[in-house]
This record gives sequence, structure tokens and C-alpha cells, in this order.
Amino acid sequence: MIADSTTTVQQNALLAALIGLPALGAVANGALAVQTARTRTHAPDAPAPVGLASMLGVGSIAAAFIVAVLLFVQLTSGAGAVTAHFGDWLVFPTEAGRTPLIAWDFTFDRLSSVLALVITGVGTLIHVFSVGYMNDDPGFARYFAYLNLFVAFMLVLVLGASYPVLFIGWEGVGLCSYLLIGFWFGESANADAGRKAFVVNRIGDMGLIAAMCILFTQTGHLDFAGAHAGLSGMSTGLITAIGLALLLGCAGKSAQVPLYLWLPDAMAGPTPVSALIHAATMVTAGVYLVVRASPIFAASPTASLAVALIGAITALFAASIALRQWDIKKVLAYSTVSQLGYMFMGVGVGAYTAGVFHLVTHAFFKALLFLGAGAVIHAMHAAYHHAHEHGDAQDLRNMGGLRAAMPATGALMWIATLAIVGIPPLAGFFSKDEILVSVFARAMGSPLASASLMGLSGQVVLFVVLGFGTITALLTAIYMTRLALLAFEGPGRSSTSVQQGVHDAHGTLLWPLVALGILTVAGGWLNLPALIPIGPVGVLEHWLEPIVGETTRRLAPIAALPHEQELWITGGAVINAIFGIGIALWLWRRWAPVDAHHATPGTGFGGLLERAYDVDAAVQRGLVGPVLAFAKRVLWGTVDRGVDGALTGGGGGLARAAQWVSAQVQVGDASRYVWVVALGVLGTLAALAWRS
Amino acid sequence: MSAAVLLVALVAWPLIGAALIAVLGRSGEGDSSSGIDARTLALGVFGLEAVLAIVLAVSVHATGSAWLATADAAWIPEIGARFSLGADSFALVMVVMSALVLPFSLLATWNEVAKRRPAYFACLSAVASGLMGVFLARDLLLFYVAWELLLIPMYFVVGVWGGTAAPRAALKYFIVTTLGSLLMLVAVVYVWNAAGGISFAYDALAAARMSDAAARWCLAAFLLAFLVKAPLLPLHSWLPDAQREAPTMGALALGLKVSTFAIARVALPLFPAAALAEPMRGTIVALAVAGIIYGALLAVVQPDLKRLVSYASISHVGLVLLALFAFTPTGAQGAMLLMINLGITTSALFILVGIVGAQRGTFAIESLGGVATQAPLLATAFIIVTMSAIGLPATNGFIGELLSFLGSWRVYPVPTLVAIVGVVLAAVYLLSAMQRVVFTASADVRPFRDLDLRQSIAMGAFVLAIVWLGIGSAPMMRMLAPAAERIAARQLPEGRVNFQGDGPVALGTEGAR
Amino acid sequence: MISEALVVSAVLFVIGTIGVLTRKNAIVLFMCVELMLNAVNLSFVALSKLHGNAGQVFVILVMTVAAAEAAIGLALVIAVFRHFGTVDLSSLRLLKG
Repeated sequence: MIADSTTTVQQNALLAALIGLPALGAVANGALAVQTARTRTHAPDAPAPVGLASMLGVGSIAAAFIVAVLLFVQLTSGAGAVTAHFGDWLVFPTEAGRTPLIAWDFTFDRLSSVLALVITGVGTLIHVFSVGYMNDDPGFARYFAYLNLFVAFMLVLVLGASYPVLFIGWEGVGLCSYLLIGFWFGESANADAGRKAFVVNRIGDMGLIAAMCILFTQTGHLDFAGAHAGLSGMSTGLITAIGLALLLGCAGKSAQVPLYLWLPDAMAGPTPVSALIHAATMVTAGVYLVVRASPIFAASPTASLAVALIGAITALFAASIALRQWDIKKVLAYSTVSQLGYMFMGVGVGAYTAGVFHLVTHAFFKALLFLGAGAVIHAMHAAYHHAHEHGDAQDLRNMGGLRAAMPATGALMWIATLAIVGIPPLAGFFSKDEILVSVFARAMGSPLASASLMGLSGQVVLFVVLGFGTITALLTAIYMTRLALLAFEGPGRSSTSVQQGVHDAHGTLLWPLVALGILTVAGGWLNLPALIPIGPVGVLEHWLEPIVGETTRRLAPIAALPHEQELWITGGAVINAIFGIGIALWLWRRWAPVDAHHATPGTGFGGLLERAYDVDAAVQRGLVGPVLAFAKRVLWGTVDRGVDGALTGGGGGLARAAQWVSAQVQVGDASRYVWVVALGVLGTLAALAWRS
Repeated sequence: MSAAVLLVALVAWPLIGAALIAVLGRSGEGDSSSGIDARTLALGVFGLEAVLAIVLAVSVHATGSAWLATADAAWIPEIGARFSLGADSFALVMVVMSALVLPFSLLATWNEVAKRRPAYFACLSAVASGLMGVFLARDLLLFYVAWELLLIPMYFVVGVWGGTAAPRAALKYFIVTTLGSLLMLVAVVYVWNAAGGISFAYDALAAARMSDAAARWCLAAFLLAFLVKAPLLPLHSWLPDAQREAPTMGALALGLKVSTFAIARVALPLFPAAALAEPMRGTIVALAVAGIIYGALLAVVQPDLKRLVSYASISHVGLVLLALFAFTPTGAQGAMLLMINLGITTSALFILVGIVGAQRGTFAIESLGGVATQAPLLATAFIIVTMSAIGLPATNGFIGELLSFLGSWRVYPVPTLVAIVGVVLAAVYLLSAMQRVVFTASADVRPFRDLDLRQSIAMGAFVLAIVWLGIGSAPMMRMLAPAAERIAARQLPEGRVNFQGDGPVALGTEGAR
Repeated sequence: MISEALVVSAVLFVIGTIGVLTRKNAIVLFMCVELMLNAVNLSFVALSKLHGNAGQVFVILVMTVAAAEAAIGLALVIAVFRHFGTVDLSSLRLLKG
């Protein structure tokens, strides 16, 4: 891609600052961390450089946010997308004699602006929270180094103008996720969880690489503009193949079935990490990629249906598991997987704006939920410490009645809970509703409904998606309300001294929560539906129109949904949510009367949910174990040893055989020698006779 | 200094240096007799070699001919052998890479070998000379001599200065590679004879008239010699033993991808039509892809860290071969980049593994661990080098991988798909090993020293190379692009060659399947 | 007449050869060698009828050489017997390797 002639030095500078500031923060904090570690080799109790590291860490992201806002304002004023070209990266010849080139091109267009603002904005809040949360952790500087590096890579991901550059960010956030999940690596389970995340992500990356291969072979381009322009010459089958390969990649990054297994384990990392990476940003990269690659998905209804179906299955599957989780973070983890499924449903049916809308609102309320959980865990830890007791600070069965001691946190958590459940006028209601309405509208007649997926008619698939989505909404209401009730309401289940030691979040632990709370309440205004015109309608939709408008129209419903049907769906969703809350309210006292010490593992179907359908164990037994055993026993034990033996033993054996043959001539037996002479004479005579 | 003199110096200086080290060097620590520390001498030799390489690299100008620098002198006129050297862009980059890797590896392994240092470094210098000879030779006999010069001192390096099972491993290495070389010698003589017996120059030999069957057999002989050393499944079993027992510099010299370079420079251009012949090409591709998975799976279950790196090397070579034998320009570019970057990354890995193993006294993974808290520099270097080996984008390991995939997809989609699976496995074994060594606490509570000054300088250079080549390699790639096209067309740098009068080998027509 | 003599000569030669190849006793070996030599002598004499007296001269030569060789050979056998206590060829392996 040749540098755009409108690229200016100023554009280069702004985009460079946007990505460079977090990167610089990472390097600076990294140097601090190494320095601290080296000091600690001879002075083990040296304190972490909290002040400096937090200034660098928070400052760099906050500055990046300001740059993002500046660029955003520039966009709103009508200027085109901001592009920057920082030189060439990959130069290589191809058959046609051309030398295509993949350059360091970045684009701040309307789509990446939305994501960049979320990343840097929510990121700043989470960084502020981390200052308080990680305050007495010796690895403070290292934490902020990794976190800043993550933001830098995430920005590369959303700003990249080609698939390979996006892939840099894609893998980079995977690396940072690994480092942050295993942050407390003293506990080997944490590092193992990080490795699991990396490996499962890599399985998805196989799909992304394959998609790049097909795209490049067919279109000769890997930059978004060029590759998508070349789609018009390709057969639908090939485009579907690309779409499905991309889906594999997105499923790995966004924890969709069957590559979701890493996300619950990822909760081993510090809670702000879960908030930033595993709720608001990295896991949404898959959704972003589908939207960015929307020309591909819009050209292949089959691939789009697959995306939507995977999303729906994941949403339902994860929601069912969340019903019976006792660890507060695990509930939120499965909830994230489930909500990501919703986003996939949205972008799968070609409602790209709806998917992005839910991405944004989810970032708000899920970050709030995670940070609130972090505040709770922080408080519980401190309480246990003060009371000189031991207990799992993350287990819901040890909590209860916390709202009395933590009124601010409790209130904000309830707001977030109601948002995710979908109670109007909070943000989650609008975004979820839009997705469900979009699915329904397309099920009633659209290019998707006329297509087919694995023999099933598109319409059937869409109705299945709708059904799963509705049931998931109900389950979401149940398990989220359960979480809030178990944590904040009713009698406390830990000892009195612990309960008394719990204090509300304050300072850096509180203000980010408040900010996120405001965003959760107000977020819905980003994209109000025409049905409920309490403010400007479809702001986000209009904003993203130049980017996804055309592709959305390709899969759009044949006829717009009549208002009454839309009302029914919307109203039905609200009633569904309230019904779920009601069930939770009715049943919750029967759910956890005992604290974690005395709890027994669940039995029957409930136990199965608790153990997440035993999928991890099944994968270990059915896949990982046999492969490792095969590698060890067959490949190493037999084949490698055998090949080695054949080479060396075989070679040696050959030599020994040759030696035996020639040794027969040298036995020292005179009559043997005479034989040899006689045979030689005969041979010579025969040769002479033959010659003549 | 003219380019020709530089070329000759690059090949000859390490030999002179070897003699200097052997004569002037002082052996061992306790020997206080006269003589200079052999390590300093060796550093001087390798350092000057690196300077020569860099001077050559900056002083060449792209001219009309593909050879950027040439040198020519009479040698054995009776049989037509000339001392003829030449560097095209690919050879130049390989020369610079090897010349730089050697002194920095020496810095990093300063205290590793304690006994008979002059002989050790003399052998390594001889190996370096052989390396340069292989990269720069334009005469097949000279190439063969350099190839043997590469092999023979390496036997001593592995056998004498290696670990406990070293002699056996060295013997295995020697026998296997020499068998291949002898077969290659037969082919060399045959080709020379077929070309009229008047010259050993590559171009002259490439124009030799041979029957198809003879060409295939000769190519097979050459390939056998090179693929044994690459290594290709199932001829690989010598490598893990040899690299495990060898001292670090020996191990990384074994891991430099000289043999795949030789395939691209010597074997494929001499027999361009035979290179496309099935079933040989298909078999090599199948074995290469099998090697990717096989090497990766074996690396996953290895309890020994050094052998793990060795199997990882086998796995990576499979990808290089796949990309080479796809005969597409993109694939050839990917293969070249892989060769260059694997030389850097695998060397860095061996150095780090050697540092850790030397301090802990073992390479058994389960006995290692917990480096991060006590040695943050080492831990950081380990993480970055591991990421490069995994092929993380923005490191040098990624660019070769991506281009190899892109290049071989068009011709071999299914094998490429299998090769991509190797990407996942690489993450498994490398991350597990790195995690075990860096993060997981070990039962061994002895203090762990971080990198000293020399090691820090060396690892800093490697990390710089990893990051810089990952991000800013566009100029190098531009330089290599013509070489990639020539490899894909199975041409010599001098230009197109006629084979059996069939006309020039055209780009693109024979690569399709 | 000549052909009969040649046949007898050939038969004697083969008998002698087989003896040399298969017998283990050194003295018997010498006897067989003598047999071979005398077989050759017989064929020389027979053929001299056709080609002149040179054949008979050769016979004298061969007999002389045979006698000399038998003398030395038997002396060697006696020396070997004195040293090793046996003249069984299969147990004398100093030439081995």
C-alpha cells in the first residue's frame, strides 16, 4: 500500500504518540522493574517504586487518551480518517514479478476511534484503580510495564491498516495476557493458566494465518483496502473458507466455543487485569476483527451464520455454567464469555453497529463489575488479614451483607448488575435489545435467512440463535442477580471479626468505579433505537455508517421490522429480565447458607455446572494426554530410538558384515588359503577363456 | 580495500587466525607460561572477521550483475579448479550474520571451556573459515573443500570438548555427514566429467548435458549430503545428541543453516529441471512437514533443555525446506529470512540455555527454575528470545514464518496447513520450557547469578537484532528479493542457465501445480 | 595313445588337487603335491611325442625341482612337528589375521 498522499507529519506524530506513549511507559516501567529486581538481589526488602511507576504508568495511558480524544475531535469535524505511514515492513517478490509490500500503516478511522477511546479511556480508569489495588505488591513496576505494553499492542491491533500489522497487536496482547495472568508466578498454577491462554489463542491464530494465506494468494494484498477490494473476483466458497478461518482466530481470542477454556483460568491474574484484558479490550479483538473484515462476512452468508451460531451456543453454554460458580471472578469470567457470544451474534447477523455497541457498553459495565469485585476482594483480603484468619476472599459463600459495610461499592455493583441484565434505561438494555431485534428482523427475511449452514436453512439457524439468546438473557438475569445478592445482601457468612474488618473502597479504588458507573448509566445514549426516542437516535450507527453501512445493507432484512413486533421483542426482553431477577430473588436464600469452609462439591446436574461440564478434564483425557503419551512413547521411545538405532546400528552392522566377509579370507588356516589360490586360478582361466 | 580482497580475507583470515591461536595461545587457567589468553585471541580473530564482513556489506554497490562482489584466482589448472569466490545478496547477508554471531557468542560463553583453549578456538576458527567458504564459493571443488573444512574440526569440537557422551555423539555426527559428503563427491566428479572435465565453476557445470535420470541421481546425491546436515527426517537423529553434548559455540555452529543455503546455492541451480521431479520433490516436502510436527512433538516431551532446542531446530528446518521446495519467490524469500533469523535466534537460545545449565550443573528441565527473581536481565532476555523462537510478530522470527506460509500456500496448501499447526506446538514447548526455567520456583535454592558484563553485551546484541530485524528489515528484504526470485527459478546469480537446451527456466510456469 | 595319457594325467591332477584342498596332514599334502607334479610330468611326456623333446627336458627339470622342494618341505614339516607337536594344518594358525 503506497503511502497516502494526504499523510502529513502531524498525522504521523499524533498516531505515533497514541501508540508510542503507552509503549514508552512500558519501557520505562520495565527498566524500573529490572532495576528494582537487581537491587533486591542484595537488599531483598527494597520497596517498589510506587510513586514513579504509577506516574509513568497512569500518565502514559492518560496522555494517550487525550491524544485519542484530539484525533476523535478531528474526525468529528468532518475530516477523513487519519492515516500514518511509518515506513515499510515486509517487502517480498511474488510470481507475477511484483513486489508487494506490507507497510507500517495505521489508520484512525471511525471504527478504530470508538475502540481507541474505549481502550485508552477505560484503560486509564483501570490503571488508576490498579495504583490502589496493587499498592503493596513488590512487582508494582513490572505490573505497570506489562499493562502499558498491553495497551500499546491493543492500539496497534485496532489501528493497524493491514492484517499482518493487526496480527502484531493480536499476538502482542496475547503475550501480555500471558505475562499478566501469570503475574504472581510464584504459584505455578498461575503461570500454567497464562500458558493455557497463550496456547489456546495460538490455536485460533492458526485460522488467522490460514485466512491470510488464502487472501494473499487470491488477491495479492494483505492490507484491508486492497484485500477487500479483491474479494469481488473470488468464489463464494473461497470467501466462506476465509470467513471460517477468521472465525477460528476470533473464537480463540474472544473465548468462543470451543476455544473458551482459557478465560476462566485467566482469572488467576490480578483483578484489574481481568477487567481490562479479559472484559473490556483483548477479548473484544475478535469482534473488532469481524467488523473490520465485514466485507468478507457480508459476502458469505454461510460464514456469517456460523459466527452467529457459535456466538449463540457460547452465550447459552457459558451462562449455564455461571449459574453455579462460587468464585466471584469465575462468575464474571463466564459472564464475559456469554456476553461475547452476544456480540458475535450481533456481528454474525451483519448488525455490525449493534455488535460494536454491545462491545462498548459491555466494556463499561463489565469493567465496573470486575473492578467492583476487585474492591470487594481487596476488602475481604484486608479483613482476613486483620482478623488473622484464612479464607478464600473470592468465594461468594464467604461474603454476604457486604452492602452495609461497602455502600458505595454495593450500589455501583447493583447498577452494573442491572445493566448487564438489561433493565432500561441502563446501557446494557439498549445494546442487548438491538442485537435481539436485529436477529429477529433478519430471521423474518433477509439474505441470511435464505442461505444455509451445514444443511440447515438460514432461517432455522437464526431462530435458534434468537432462542438461545433469549434463554441466555434469562440465565444472565438469574446468575448476575444471584451474584449481587450473595455478595451484598442478607446475612454475612464469614466470621464476625472478618465482617467487621471490611471497609468500603475509597480513593483510587473508588473513583474509577464511579466514573464507570456514570458511563454505564449514560452509555445507552450512544445508540438509542428509533422505538425509544428519548434522545438522539442511532448516534453510533450514523458514526459507523461510512465503514460498515454498505456491508450491513448486504445482509439487512428485506423489510424493516414493524414497530409492534419490535415493541413485543423489546418488551419481552424486559419482562424476561425481570422474570430472571424474580427467580433469583425467590431462590437465592436456598443457594448458599454455608460458608466456603464447610461447603461440599455439588452433585448431579448442579455439580456438572459447577465443574463447567468437565470439559477441561475431557480435553486433558481425550486430547492432551493421548497426544503427549503418543509423543513420548511412540515417537520418542520407538520411532526416534528406532531411527537412531537403524542409522547407527545399521551403519555399524553393515560395517561389521563387510568385516566378517573379508575376515573369512584371513583365518590363518593354510588350506583356506590354498582354496583361495585355486579359486583364483580357476577364475583367471575362466576370464581368459571368456575374453577370447 | 577492494571487494575481491575482502572476500579472500573473509575466507582466509579465520584459517590464519586458527594458526595464530594455536601457536600463540596460552592454554588453561593454571598455565601461567608465556602466551596470550586464547579467548582474547579468538575474540580478535572473530571480531576482525565481523569487521571485514561489515566493511564488505557497506562497500558493495548493486551493479548490473547479480554478484555483488567477486574474486578469482587460478588454483589447479589441470582439472579446471579455480579459487573463485562470489557474494550475491543472500550470501552477503548470511556472511554478515554468521560473522556477527560468532564474536558475540564467544563473549557470552567466555568461561565455558576451560581445557585446551587454543586447540578449541583454532578448531572453531577453522569451522568459521569453512562457513565463509561455503557461503562464498563459486567453484564446486572449492565448495567441497570448504564443506569438509566445516565438518572435520566440528567433530573435534563436539568430541573433545563436549559432555560425557560426547565421543559417541561426535562419531555419529561424523560418520553420517561424511557418508553424505562422499556421495556428494561422486556426484561432483560426475557432473564435472559431464561438463567436459574442464571447469568446476558453477555456471559451467550448470550447462552440462546430462540425461534426466543422471541429473536426478546427481541431485539426489547432493541433496542427501545437504539434507543429512539440515537435518531432514529421518536422517535427523545425530543432531540432538551432537548438540546436546557439544559446547555452546559448537552447538550453535551446528545449528547455522548452512545446508539449506547450500541447497539453494548449489544443488537446485545445478539441476533445475530435476529439482521439480516427483517423487523426490514431493517426498522431501512430505518429510519436511512431518519433521515440523515430529520435531515439535518430541520437543514437547523432552526432559532435557538442550535437546529441546535441538528438536525445535529440526522443526524449524522443516518449514525452511517446505518454503524452498515450493519454488515460489515469496516462499524463497521466506526461506532465506528463516535461515538468517534462525541463525540468530537459535544461537541466542543455545547461549541462554548454556548459561542456565552451567550455573545449575544440569540441563534437566525439572531441576531448573526460578531465574526471574534472581536474574531479571537473564529472564528478560529469555522471554524475548523465546518469543522470537515462537514467531511472535514484531520479532525477527515472524517475518520468515509468515512469508514461508504465504509462499508455500499456493503450491502446497495442505502441507502448509499442517505446518501452521506447528505454530501452535511451538508455543507449547517453548513457552513451557521458558516458563519452567524463568518463572517456576525450583527446589534448588542456590543463588543464581545474573548476566555478567560480557554476557549482557552479547545478549543485548542478540535482543537488538531480534527486535530490529522484526520491525525494520525492509531494506534487507529489498536486497534479498532478486535472490529469492533466482532461487524460485532455480537460477545461478550469473543469470539464466540453459539446461539441456530447453531454453531459459521461466519464472512462474514451473512452480504451479 | 596320447589322449589316454592326458586323461590319466588330468585324473591324477584332480586327485592331487582335491587332496591338497581337503587333507589336513602336512605329509599327505606333500604327497598330493607330488602327485600333481607327476601328473603334469605325464602330460609333458605324452605331449612331447607330438611336439618334440622339449617336453621331456621339462620333465627332468620338474623332477629336480620336485625333489629339492620335497626335501626342504619335509625338513620344514619335521621342524614344525618338533615345535608344535603336530602337523595338522587346521591347528597351525600363526598366519591368522
